[in-house]
Amino acid sequence: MTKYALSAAITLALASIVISPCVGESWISPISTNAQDVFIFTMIRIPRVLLAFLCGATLSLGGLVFQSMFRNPLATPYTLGVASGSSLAVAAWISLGVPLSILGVSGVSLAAMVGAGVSVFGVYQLAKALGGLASISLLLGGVVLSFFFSSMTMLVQYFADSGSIFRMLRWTMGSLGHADYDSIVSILPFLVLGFTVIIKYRYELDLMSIGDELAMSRGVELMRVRKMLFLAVSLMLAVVIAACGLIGFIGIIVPHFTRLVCGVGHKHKVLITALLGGCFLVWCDALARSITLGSDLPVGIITSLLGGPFFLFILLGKNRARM
Amino acid sequence: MNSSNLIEVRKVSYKHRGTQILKGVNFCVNRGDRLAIVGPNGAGKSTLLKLLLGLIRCTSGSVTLGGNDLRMLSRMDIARSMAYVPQLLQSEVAFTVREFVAMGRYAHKGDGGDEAIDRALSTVSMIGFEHRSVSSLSGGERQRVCIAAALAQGSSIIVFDEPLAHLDPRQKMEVQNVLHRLDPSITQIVVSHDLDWVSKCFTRVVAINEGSVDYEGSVGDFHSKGVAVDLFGDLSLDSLGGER
Repeated sequence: MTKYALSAAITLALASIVISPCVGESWISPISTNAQDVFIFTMIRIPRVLLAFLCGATLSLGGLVFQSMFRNPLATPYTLGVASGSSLAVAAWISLGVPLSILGVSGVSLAAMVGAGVSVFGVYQLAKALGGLASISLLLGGVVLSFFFSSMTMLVQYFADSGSIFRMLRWTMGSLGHADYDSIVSILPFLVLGFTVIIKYRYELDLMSIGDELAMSRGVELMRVRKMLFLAVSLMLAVVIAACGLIGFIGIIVPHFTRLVCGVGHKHKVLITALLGGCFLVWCDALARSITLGSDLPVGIITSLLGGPFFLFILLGKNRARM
Repeated sequence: MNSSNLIEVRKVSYKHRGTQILKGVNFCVNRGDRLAIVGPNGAGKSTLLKLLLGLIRCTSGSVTLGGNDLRMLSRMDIARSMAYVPQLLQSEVAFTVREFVAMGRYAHKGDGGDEAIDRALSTVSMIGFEHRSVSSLSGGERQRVCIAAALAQGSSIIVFDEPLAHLDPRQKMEVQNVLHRLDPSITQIVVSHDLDWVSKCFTRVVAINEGSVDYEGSVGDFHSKGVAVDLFGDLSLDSLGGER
């Protein structure tokens, strides 16, 4: 069953990457010879689809890892405060109004990455102080810092002008509108590194999902593995948030869907989750750039609009299966 | 104590957030022992178990496994020598029985996996349950699956944390039978409150009270010297005012 699911996910991912660049405000054929169409297809839509795929895969995988690590089905990639840290840094950057970019990376993206980094470091140190990287310490550290960063963000917004507030709000809705090949190349090494760590520890995720003591007694170096996974997911999230802002719901819906399709073991689920997460964001973004003329709808709105009912459908289906 | 002891616990103390939980604990476990750790609630039995498994580190003293300090061994090394069966799994475990038992092979990187898993499932009479979810099993069946996972781990020592807790009498009997049938070369260390079971099925007792070892020796002496009565009081129906 799982092997079929993996084959299906690979086929779906390839089909999505090939077909979705054609979709947008207008259909563009990949064999079109019109210069404008060729430009839009190759320079705008293809990088956008590739970026959407990578970001969707990362967010889904982040959700899966945190749900298994914390044995909490409601954990999301943002549970440990990365999103609120980035939001605060972006809000501060926008309100300061400094027009700066380094090596082609915009100031907002840099701020998001720095915010995520500060947040990860803060959660890590707080968890160590609370009880040495135990699940509950990481969760508590994440929740405390999230609240702190969120209140600081509100404070920054309160003193900001209306134009800045709109930019801050727009960033929190997520967008893939700035996608280009450079942004893909700049995030790819971090994602490859993170994916490698998660794939390396996929068996450990099985053991961690049944309990810390059992995992350790079976031979898992729990603290080391947890630290590596936490850092890998955080690194991936930081670069993804910097590239496309905050996109919600993917990290919770896709792992739940894959769990339904291929069970709880992580052997194939890691890859299937990444592939389906990529597909999900690719098609949400295709919808976002198709339904309004002249401008894109923020993709975060689409993922939430589709995600809420879809999640409810999964839960209802699960309940019906139990009865 | 001598170097042939499988496990040696020497002057072990453990403090947690300012509270002294264990103080100067000494005892040893020999190959093939069926050792029961008993004591009232809060005596420090579960903490001692975690120290034996290397899940926590003692504040002072040492625990050695086959002559090697536990702190010097990797988790893999410990897992290859010592398996753990927790109290009844209360949480939702959506893995199938086979997947769950297969996790016991983690420390062996999957070597000889299928054969070891089949043998373990057969020992605990769970053949035919392989594709059932662990969550769908009764308490006794879950406990047998946990024992199978420990057996699949291929360790010479299995440590049980109150394996009969929360089971009804029939389920207790099933689990007791499985433990009784285990290969006698496997060293069993059990934390238990069930003194009847300890008397019938174990060879040695370590009695813990208020963080210290009150008694270490044979099961016979544990009763004849009145240690059980000292620890738990007189548990006969007469003394409790029970009706016959």
